[in-house]
Amino acid sequence: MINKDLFKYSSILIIVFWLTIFVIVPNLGVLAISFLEKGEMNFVKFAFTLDNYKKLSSLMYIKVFVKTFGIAFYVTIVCLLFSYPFVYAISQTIQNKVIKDFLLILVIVPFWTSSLIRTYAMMIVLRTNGIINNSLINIGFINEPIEFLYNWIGVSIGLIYSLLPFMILPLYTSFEKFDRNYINAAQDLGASKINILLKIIIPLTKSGITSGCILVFLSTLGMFFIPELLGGSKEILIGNLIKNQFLIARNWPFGTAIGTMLTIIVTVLILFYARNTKNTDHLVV
Amino acid sequence: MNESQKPIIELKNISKSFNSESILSNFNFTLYENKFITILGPSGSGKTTIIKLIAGFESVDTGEIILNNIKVNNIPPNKREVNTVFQNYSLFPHMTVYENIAFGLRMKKKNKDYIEQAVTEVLKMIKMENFASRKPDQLSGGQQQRVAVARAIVNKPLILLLDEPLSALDEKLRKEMQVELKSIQQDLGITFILVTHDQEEALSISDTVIVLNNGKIEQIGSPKEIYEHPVNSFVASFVGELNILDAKIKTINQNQLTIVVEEIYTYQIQNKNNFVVQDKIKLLIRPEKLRLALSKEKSTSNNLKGQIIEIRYRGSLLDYIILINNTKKLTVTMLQNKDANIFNYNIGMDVFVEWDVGCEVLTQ
Amino acid sequence: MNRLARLYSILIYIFLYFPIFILIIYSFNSSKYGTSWQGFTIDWYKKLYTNNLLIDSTKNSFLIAGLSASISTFIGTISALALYSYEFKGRKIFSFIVYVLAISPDIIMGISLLILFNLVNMNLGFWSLLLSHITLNLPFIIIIIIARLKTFNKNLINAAKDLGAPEWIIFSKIIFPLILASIISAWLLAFTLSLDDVVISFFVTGPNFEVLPLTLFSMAHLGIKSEINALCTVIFILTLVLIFISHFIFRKKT
Repeated sequence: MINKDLFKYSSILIIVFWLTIFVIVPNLGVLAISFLEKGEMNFVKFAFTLDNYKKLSSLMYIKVFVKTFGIAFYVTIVCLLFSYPFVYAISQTIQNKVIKDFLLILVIVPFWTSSLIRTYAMMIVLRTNGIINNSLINIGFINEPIEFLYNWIGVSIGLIYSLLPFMILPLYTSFEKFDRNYINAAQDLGASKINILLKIIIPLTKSGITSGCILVFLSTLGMFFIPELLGGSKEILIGNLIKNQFLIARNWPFGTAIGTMLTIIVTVLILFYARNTKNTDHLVV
Repeated sequence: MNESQKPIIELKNISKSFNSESILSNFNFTLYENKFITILGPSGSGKTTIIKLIAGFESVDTGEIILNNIKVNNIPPNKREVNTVFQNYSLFPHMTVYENIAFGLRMKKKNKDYIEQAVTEVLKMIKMENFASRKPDQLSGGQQQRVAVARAIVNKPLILLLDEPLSALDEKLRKEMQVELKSIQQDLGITFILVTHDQEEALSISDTVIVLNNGKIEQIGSPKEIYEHPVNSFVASFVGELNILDAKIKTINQNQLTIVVEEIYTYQIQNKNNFVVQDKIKLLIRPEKLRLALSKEKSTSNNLKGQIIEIRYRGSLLDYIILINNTKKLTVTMLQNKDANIFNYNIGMDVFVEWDVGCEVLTQ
Repeated sequence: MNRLARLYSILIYIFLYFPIFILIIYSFNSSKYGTSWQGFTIDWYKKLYTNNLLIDSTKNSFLIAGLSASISTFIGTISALALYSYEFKGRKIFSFIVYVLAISPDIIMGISLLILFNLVNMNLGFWSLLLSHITLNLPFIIIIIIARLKTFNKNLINAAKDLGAPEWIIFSKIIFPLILASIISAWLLAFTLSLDDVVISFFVTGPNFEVLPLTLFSMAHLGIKSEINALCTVIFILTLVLIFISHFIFRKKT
């Protein structure tokens, strides 16, 4: 009797304890500090102010938020468009299980590989005397190297490159659950290939689509090292803003204000996603 | 059979293999009138393959499929005037009952009013008018099955194919659905081709039964023909319960055979199959065609002596397992009937198993 | 149609692997800045051995990765069991928090932990990084284990309870063997996450405790160098090995 309760209570206690100390308290701290003034010596001065948020609502910073959202949206759509036919091909057209498994591992490898390494590798490929530019010049396709880096093109490519597996894997899970018989039934009832795609396949893989989109979108919002490496100091996103405030400007209150805004946006999106997915059984245990 | 009529469906010299294994070879079948056809056979006999070929989900290796005088070999399934009721129904889970049924009509770009009317009509036919806005996961198995049928027939196809549609239902529901399917077919007047391995199902609702084994047609006929006059022991034993006895043909006199059954009993029977004198033929007889008697003097029909070794109670019927010659077991099925003079037959009793000439079938 | 789909998939695979492929090739390029091919060499790999900063960073990273993976797997497995099996106040909220953590951007966790450590006047270094990485890994471990627990037949546990088995026995003799494969996979994932983490390490580690991703990051800032290529290649090979092990174990056990 004692044994049972001991195990039960200690295991519940552990998770509650850890999450409270390392998640709830710190985030409350972030919220609190966003209402404080910047101090000279100790990072913060204990004086209440709304200045941080006022600053945040200025045009310059709104622009950054809008830009980040724009890129996040754009990257998400591109990842979806690239991934969907890819996953369809792997999941539905290949019967051999061994081959399928192997192809899946080929996707998991970049997924597990450090984002930093993959971004660095992309730097090598995209630079002005990199392999793409050199090949294009050698063929005679272009005369001058294309500036892929240090602009939004490079940042977008880098983000898409990094996040593609995050779109592929949820889509794959969804597709694997898809019953081929639905396609047969639709054909039997006279549906053309386009109709089958639009009316049967896409609606029935909706959970994979939304999971993938949410993952990619949210990840983009917080990115800072990809924009930094591939965009130089030119492409500032929310992530770069936050990092700069904390580590360069040392303006913690302002940094936390940006962080709080980001947290609110992320939480709202997640709630929206949770409400819209009937299949919330993965959200609540 | 009216020869000048166009056949509804013609399957000519169809062959089909999977992974170098031949499923169908030289399969031929022609249908002139709208009927309820059942393709009956064990698993692996090729019956599902036939439906897939007619629907267009598989293509033949050789041969022609002709629907309404048009060769459809190269026409994809979405353009054939055939609809299928799938084994697991495959109702679209994200659509309501109404939308599921309306799907085919929408694909054919029928206008809204037509669709409304047609769907409502068919919902009435399956008695599910109040279920229009439900989703498939809110329906019972029987209801899903009916929606699957509705979804197919609302398109007024030339032929309706049913791939073991009742196999997932329990006994009682099966019987109800069998009757419903039959009445729908008669109301609509289109051809139903149903595939099943359940011989009871095949016998009770079909106009015509095709018995299939290993990709070959063993027999085509009405349920009565199949049951009462099976052409070989496969058909006989697959359709219904069967007793198989060994027999020898001793002599032939004009059209009369003298046969010896189980080396015990000799009698004469008409030579329907043009047999020659030989040692090994089989005598097939249904359990319900056999009777039990306690003494020989009373019997005027053929009989074999044996001992009751088992009795099975089946509600309205009783099965008696009789051991003949210490080697063969016969099943005798008798109806529980107050008027019949059934003694209390018990295990261990010696009895005579009787039958009338003509109730048996002789095969190789 | 299928052929088109297959061709397309190959293109995507090429897209995913091409940069890494180039990276690996150039790690053997004797040109220092890798602008053009100047001959095969393994000098850069040799140089890695002598770079003390790199060696220290690597040791630190592995230490943190190993410890944080192990501790977080332990805590995570128990937490997963608690969240899955027991009803308690706040269960839904804490489950929600776990899932939010898993998909939220790391940067939020980074700054919040930085503030925490400052609040308690902790120096940034080994301990702050360790605790942070455990927190980073925890949600993923919990999600993986819960996903596995959900595939269980509850009757298994009920049968054991019915026979009078105490909680601890149920866990060690019935549940544990069945989730072992997931635990190992989770450990490997946590190890990788910790090893590769840039964002959180950025905020919570101090100058006295360098870790590999940050070293790599500052090197990459300065531009392309073949030495970095060699380092990246080594890390990539290591990741491959980890994936291979994970897959192999998972296959064997399930």
